[in-house]
Amino acid sequence: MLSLPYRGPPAVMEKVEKYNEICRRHHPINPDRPRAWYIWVFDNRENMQAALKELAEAELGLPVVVSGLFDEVAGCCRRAGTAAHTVNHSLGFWGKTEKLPPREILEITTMCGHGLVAPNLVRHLAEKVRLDEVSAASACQEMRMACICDIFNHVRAEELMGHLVEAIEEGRLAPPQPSREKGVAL
Amino acid sequence: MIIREDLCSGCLECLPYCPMEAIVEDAEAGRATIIEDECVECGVCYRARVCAPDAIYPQDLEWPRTLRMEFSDPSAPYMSPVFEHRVISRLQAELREMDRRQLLDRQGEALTISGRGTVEMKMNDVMGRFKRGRAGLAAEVGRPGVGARFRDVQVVTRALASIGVRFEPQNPLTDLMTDTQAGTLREDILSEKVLSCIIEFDVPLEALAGVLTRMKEVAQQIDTVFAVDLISVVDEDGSIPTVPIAASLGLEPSIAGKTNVGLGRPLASLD
Repeated sequence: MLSLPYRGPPAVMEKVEKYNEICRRHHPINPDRPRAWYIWVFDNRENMQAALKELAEAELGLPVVVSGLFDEVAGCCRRAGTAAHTVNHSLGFWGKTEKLPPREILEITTMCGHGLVAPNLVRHLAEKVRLDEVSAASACQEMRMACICDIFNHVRAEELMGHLVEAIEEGRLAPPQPSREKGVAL
Repeated sequence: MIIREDLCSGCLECLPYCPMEAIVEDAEAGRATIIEDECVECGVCYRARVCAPDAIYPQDLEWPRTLRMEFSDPSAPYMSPVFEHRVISRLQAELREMDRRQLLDRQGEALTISGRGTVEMKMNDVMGRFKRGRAGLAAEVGRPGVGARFRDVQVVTRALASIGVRFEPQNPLTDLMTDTQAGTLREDILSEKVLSCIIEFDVPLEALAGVLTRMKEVAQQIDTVFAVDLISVVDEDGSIPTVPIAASLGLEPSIAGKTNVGLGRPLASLD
């Protein structure tokens, strides 16, 4: 869930503070890293819906965007006393898709829409998790740090990390092979 | 971004952090190095604080390399002369006075509108940018995680312009065009690489199928990928008019995405 604007006159910023206060009260998974885009990540529908309902009742007048399953978000909107206004569907990735990393990695990296979580970092950390050098939770926190908007869902990433480690163990993904040659990327 | 050879210990811990795989080992020198032409100046390696001796160094950038940062680092303000008229807030003016290292250290604490695109539908309830009877479209060239040269971006903009698409004037990419009617970009930027760059526009619903078909065709002519976003105002009965049009072309709109939940006030006119 996010709201704009991120900066404005004091009257607007008071509303933004209220928005943050309401969202924080409903247990987002990123309460410790408030960022300027006021993105709050929830790992269950109930908490998100409760936050949305309270926001609607507060009549702050700030635009709010929710990312999630369209049907579920529409239902949450109805129960919160509002309605979906505008939607943004993805039609997928077109072009040289052979350049994309394997699906198990893409599912994690695309949780940062700006593309700041590197596929090689995911591979590298998955390998460390597989070897019990770090926990999945620590690995996902490390990935989260790269996402400066903090929209990266580290709880979901932990689930996906389990699938990724399985894929590596079953030989479905190549393990990281750091380059030892000048000018040759990983 | 550069790696200072006098400081790099050769531990190579920074290599996996680069989304563009631009950090590699220089085996001869026994240290990490950055392939300058592949680096998009996103700042991830610097912000990761992975380098114990602090050898990763954000050098000052000159035009047109500045575009790499403006399009790839979401916390970067407009810095390039071409965006001069877009310095819209005191905050952005303050940020322009900082050196690169100070900017990176802000770490998103003060995110501004970056070069990558506009707020698209996020404020549509109060801005009314996307109207009923129209479809918003975005081609996020280079996304996810492949990166793009402006040369490839131009292939797409020219193809779209040839069928009458008019580009979103608030999108920074439009500022980089020498001919918006033809979708032609400045010659001096074509080799620059960015993490991603959004081409934004909207079309009448009756033109949507033709535009999507042209986008499918042009996707085969570029050396990267693009993510396609389809934006629509929701009808009063809850239906979404763009979905059946996309489906008629065999496309499957995602079941998840962004919903503007209509809490902004005052509501803008959509007619």
